[in-house]
Amino acid sequence: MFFPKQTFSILLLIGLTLTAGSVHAQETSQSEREAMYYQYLEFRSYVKGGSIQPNWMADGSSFWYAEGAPANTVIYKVDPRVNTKGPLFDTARLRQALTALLGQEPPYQGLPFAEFTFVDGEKVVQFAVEDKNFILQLDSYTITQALSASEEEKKRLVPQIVRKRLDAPPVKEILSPDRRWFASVKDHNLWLRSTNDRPSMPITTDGIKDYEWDVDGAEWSPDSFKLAVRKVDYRKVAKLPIVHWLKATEEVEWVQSDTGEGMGPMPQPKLFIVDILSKRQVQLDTGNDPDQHFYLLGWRPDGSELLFLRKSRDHKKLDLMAADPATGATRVILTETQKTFVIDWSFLVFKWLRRFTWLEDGKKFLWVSERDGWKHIYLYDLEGNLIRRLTQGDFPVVRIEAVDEKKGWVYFTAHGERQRPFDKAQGKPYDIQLYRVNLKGKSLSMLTETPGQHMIQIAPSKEFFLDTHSSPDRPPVVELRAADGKLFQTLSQANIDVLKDLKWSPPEEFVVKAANGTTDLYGVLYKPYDFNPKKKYPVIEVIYAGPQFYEVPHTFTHPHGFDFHAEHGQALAQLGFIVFVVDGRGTPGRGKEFQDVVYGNIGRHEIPDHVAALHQLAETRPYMDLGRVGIFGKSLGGYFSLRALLFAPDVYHVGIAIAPATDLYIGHWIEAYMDLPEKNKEAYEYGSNLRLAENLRGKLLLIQGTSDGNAPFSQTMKMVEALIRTDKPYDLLVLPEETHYFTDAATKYIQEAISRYFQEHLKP
Amino acid sequence: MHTTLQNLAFLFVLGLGFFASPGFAQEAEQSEREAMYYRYLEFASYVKGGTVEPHWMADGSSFWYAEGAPENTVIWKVDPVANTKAPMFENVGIRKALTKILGHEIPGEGLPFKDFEFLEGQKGVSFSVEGQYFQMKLDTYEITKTPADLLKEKENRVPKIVGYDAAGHPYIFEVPSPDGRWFAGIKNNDLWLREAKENSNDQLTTDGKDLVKWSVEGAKWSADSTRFALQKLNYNGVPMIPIVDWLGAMEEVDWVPVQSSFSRTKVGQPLPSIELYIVDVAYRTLTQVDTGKEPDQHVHIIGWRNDGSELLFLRASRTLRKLELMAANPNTGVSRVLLIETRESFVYGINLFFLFESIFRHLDGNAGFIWMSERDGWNHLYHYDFHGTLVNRLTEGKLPVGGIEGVDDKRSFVYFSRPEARERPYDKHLYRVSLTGKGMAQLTEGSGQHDIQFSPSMLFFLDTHSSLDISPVTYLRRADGTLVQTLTKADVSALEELKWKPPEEFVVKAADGKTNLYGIIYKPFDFDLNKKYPVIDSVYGCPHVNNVPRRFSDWRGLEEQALAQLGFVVFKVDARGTPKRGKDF
Repeated sequence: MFFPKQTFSILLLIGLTLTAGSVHAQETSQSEREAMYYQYLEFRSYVKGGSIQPNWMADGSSFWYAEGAPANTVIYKVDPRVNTKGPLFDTARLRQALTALLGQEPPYQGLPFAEFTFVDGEKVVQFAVEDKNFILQLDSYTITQALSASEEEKKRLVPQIVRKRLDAPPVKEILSPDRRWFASVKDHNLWLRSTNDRPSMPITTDGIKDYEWDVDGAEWSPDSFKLAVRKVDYRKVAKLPIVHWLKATEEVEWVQSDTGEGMGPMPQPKLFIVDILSKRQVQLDTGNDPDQHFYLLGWRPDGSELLFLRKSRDHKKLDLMAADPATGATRVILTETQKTFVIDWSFLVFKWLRRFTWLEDGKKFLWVSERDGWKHIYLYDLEGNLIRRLTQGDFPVVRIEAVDEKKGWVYFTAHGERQRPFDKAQGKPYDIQLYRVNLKGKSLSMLTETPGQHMIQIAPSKEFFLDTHSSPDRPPVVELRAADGKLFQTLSQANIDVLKDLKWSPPEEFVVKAANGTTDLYGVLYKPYDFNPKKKYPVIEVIYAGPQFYEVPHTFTHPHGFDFHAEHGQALAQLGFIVFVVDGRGTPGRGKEFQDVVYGNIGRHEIPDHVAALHQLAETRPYMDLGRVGIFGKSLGGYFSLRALLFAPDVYHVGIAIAPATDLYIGHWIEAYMDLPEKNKEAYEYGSNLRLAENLRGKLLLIQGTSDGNAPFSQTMKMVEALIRTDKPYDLLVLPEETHYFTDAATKYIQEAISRYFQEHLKP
Repeated sequence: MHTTLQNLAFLFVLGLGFFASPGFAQEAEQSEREAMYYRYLEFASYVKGGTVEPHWMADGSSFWYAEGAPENTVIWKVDPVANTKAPMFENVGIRKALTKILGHEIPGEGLPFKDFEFLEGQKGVSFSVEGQYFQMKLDTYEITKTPADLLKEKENRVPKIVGYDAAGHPYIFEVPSPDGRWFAGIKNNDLWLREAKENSNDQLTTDGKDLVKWSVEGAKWSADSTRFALQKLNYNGVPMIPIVDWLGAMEEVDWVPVQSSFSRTKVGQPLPSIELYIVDVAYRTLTQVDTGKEPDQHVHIIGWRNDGSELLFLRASRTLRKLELMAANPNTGVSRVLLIETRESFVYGINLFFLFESIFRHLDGNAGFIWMSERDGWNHLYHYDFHGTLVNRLTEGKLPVGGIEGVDDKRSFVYFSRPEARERPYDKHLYRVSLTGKGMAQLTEGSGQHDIQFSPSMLFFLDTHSSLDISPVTYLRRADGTLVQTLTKADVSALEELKWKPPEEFVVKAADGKTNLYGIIYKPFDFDLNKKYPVIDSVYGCPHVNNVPRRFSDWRGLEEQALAQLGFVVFKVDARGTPKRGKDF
């Protein structure tokens, strides 16, 4: 843990630089606050424990997990059937046996490893210490050194990266079900890479640069003889120039951006089924529309059909399709349509997120649809006949967690919403609880109870589950429960003792009305550790407001990560600000109607909702000074920070836009929320911040990496040009070679810049 | 200095910020200072007149110039021989005649134009008003619209733009032949020749490519308009700079070479190789001139010998330590070295690129040429013949010649600029010396800068005198320096509004504790000796230019002078390593 050292040096520095100040007492206190800011930036490192990664064992219910790694590793074995928990290994005995073999004491205090594999039933385990493999007989505790796999052997079994992408996860090889092959790509063509020592072989030869085979999302047939795969034509797709300014002579790299490619021609994917023995390619009939989105769902268990999804470019129509692998002929199983989008951007980012779930017979499936305004579960057969719906009500299903066909249960998580009489935690729409319903659509019951968000891990036997839950005021706890929700034991409770030293108190959760005066909006408010209700504090809002995510944390630590989100806001509060976060209309998690408020209209309703929230908060909180209000956010949060300064210049005085979108021509994904530009041109123009540059009255800091593939550098340049044209002063922090996801060094620099900018201009 | 600037920016922000701070009175004062800042940025517009742009007439001594444009334009005709100065046009008549043609009153009081051309025989003039072209007979003041065909021809006689810089500004134009008939230009990196009268176009080369460019920049025609010399630049292997258009729907990248007057590549990287060609217009032939085998060198075309027998050009080594004057046979392309300058550090450094046109001055007939050199540590003039033999040196001493201002071949005088005394090293006076190197005389007086414009007859010159505390005055003088008349004096009465005072000149020691450095200090208009002011050092420091302004409304000091009005003390100083103080310095 490196925070204390950092903190000391910061204190020292501040002490040295501010000695000459005139109001000495006050300045000391601000330097203390600044030290708190840096300590709170490490907030999540103070939350110890409270999460478990279970490794399920052969009986489908027992599991082991490691705790305290690496310094004091203990590996516990839990057997839910008898409700026991005990160390799996005798640490002292194991270390002793190892010392003899290693010729020295193994590292650390507890177990010298945090993971292992069972080799022979569950009586023998294999583990590695200091790059050496060992075999342990659990009955006798005899340890022998095993042959270590060579680097090449190890690599053979690990999927390799076949394509790196800017600001998106890399594409990796895909293992065949018989574990003999990795589907791979080399020189734009499909290859098979053997998992044993056989040579790799090409499967296609017709791929060329920008018209290439791609294993992203590829699906092997159950017999491992066929591969469903895509070939994508990028030839007309505009690329993004990434300028490497720091080289001796500048270099320009033209990259395919997965999100920031602008609104020009789209990539044209074609779907194929390739026979790996004959190398025969069968192209699937996906229709004549060139601009479509596809997602491969997988094969029927008997290999007779491949299932995939087809979405129209405007995202308003979604077909579940089945293809005949012999001919490529396709049929539509079912079609979903909406007036807005059928399924939003999560299609691209989180793939299908279990919206389609097979039943065991391979003839029926569960389907999640938002067709009645809420995400619900429907049971279908493969001819597209609706057998029945399983859930209904004014609440959205989050996802199907498991199906226990033997007992007839579907386990799913869902958000809360108003009219759920059985809901023990009413009025907390962002809570996530576990439910089950039977395949007849009856006997719905809630299996978890504590308010907050529950993350569920169900045992393969479906008889038990781990329930990890927390809320903004309550650190995470992991509970072992029976399938009917009955609590067996608490496995882990997070320790937050360090937070006491930081004088931490939980954020205040609040409910306010949207700008329409009727819709409830939910948020949190952070105060400084030395909060004094008699003082006046400047206010900072942390905003995202894009239609894909909600920003307010409903767990103890923020699920989106830390930087430039709510937790960063909590740290900023320590400098002497009141910081709030609120999710306005147009964000997910609250049903279709709530989200569709901004459909085709991004940039119109969001800021009024946030202004309404701010004013309601301040009405009852006289310590909030509406004369000093700041706002910041990243990406679309940067767009809305700009938007706030330009849309409500009387309300927001200081804004920091990090890696911002500045207009709405930022990639095709936005079409899910804005319709096509040619059909909705005026709204796209309306949503542009460039057009509003002349409204700027407050202080604006733009922060941008030059190699950003998500919100390209050109977005910031366009804003800057508009500000110059309208004679508006701004500040700009440019980070060379930084992408949308900043390096640690850049993040630290930005954290300092944010602190400096808000302190300088909001004067806490 | 970095810290200071940062602090300043911070103060700035505090001052401009939207949070009302307790001291409101102070802010009002600062807003007044800010108003002054913006007014001072327009300082040059508060100084009216004082300079003259002469248009010399056929006799080589008379000239006309415009004054008071645009509201009260008067065009004066000056005859130095008779020592007269009088309005050239009777403006009431012109205004009346034009009002009739245009159908409305012309704004302002004076002439409706400030520029005109004589028609053939000087019996009439042509000018444009409100975008329309007119002709006027000088005896009757009869005004008619210029016929369309004449306008078309006139348009054809204007050099067209053939090159743009990275920012899209035109910077290379067609090069016209001395007789006005031909225009050498570039299209798609190839050489074209345009004939003005027919406006016909001939493509002369076909090998131009993105990286192999024909260039008319610096091309020179022979006096008889039959030949011209130009360069072909080969950029293969030269690093390019990406210019990214961030503002379009999709980004675009344009790769361009390093573009500045003195740099065509990056440090340590290859230069574009330069080939030199002579085009014979009648034969449409291209003859390559032998410039040697060194790929990394600079080549500059000086021009032609008076009789057209040889093309003269300069060749400089990449490091600028060696400069050669070369002459080439236009028929064969064979070249010879006329003289060589070498230096252990550099021959003029990158100033060479600005001095290319000043180093060499052709004398009439076979009298040879004047050559400028720093070879003895100070910039001086030398007289050479075309065998490369030194005839005699013209100037000497520990004060550097600024440049040649004119040569009177008939009377064998060379006119040049130079400071008067070592104590005022940046002053500029006019001197002359005879071609024998004898009889050097100073022709201007009064410390400061004397900017000189000679009449083609070499009998008269205009002397525009100004310094940091003297507003510009333009005198008409005879070639020996005696005053004919004072033509114009700047009107600076508007400066009262600015509460302006001249900057303070100072002399300090360099870091070596010995060398004198010269500079100036600007103070705020409301300067208070008892206050403490933050300080701004306005620095350039690049070794090829002087940064301290020396003239009255010199652009080099206007931004700094304005900045001082916000409540700063701003200074500028020319430190060691900058020009005009001799080679050692």
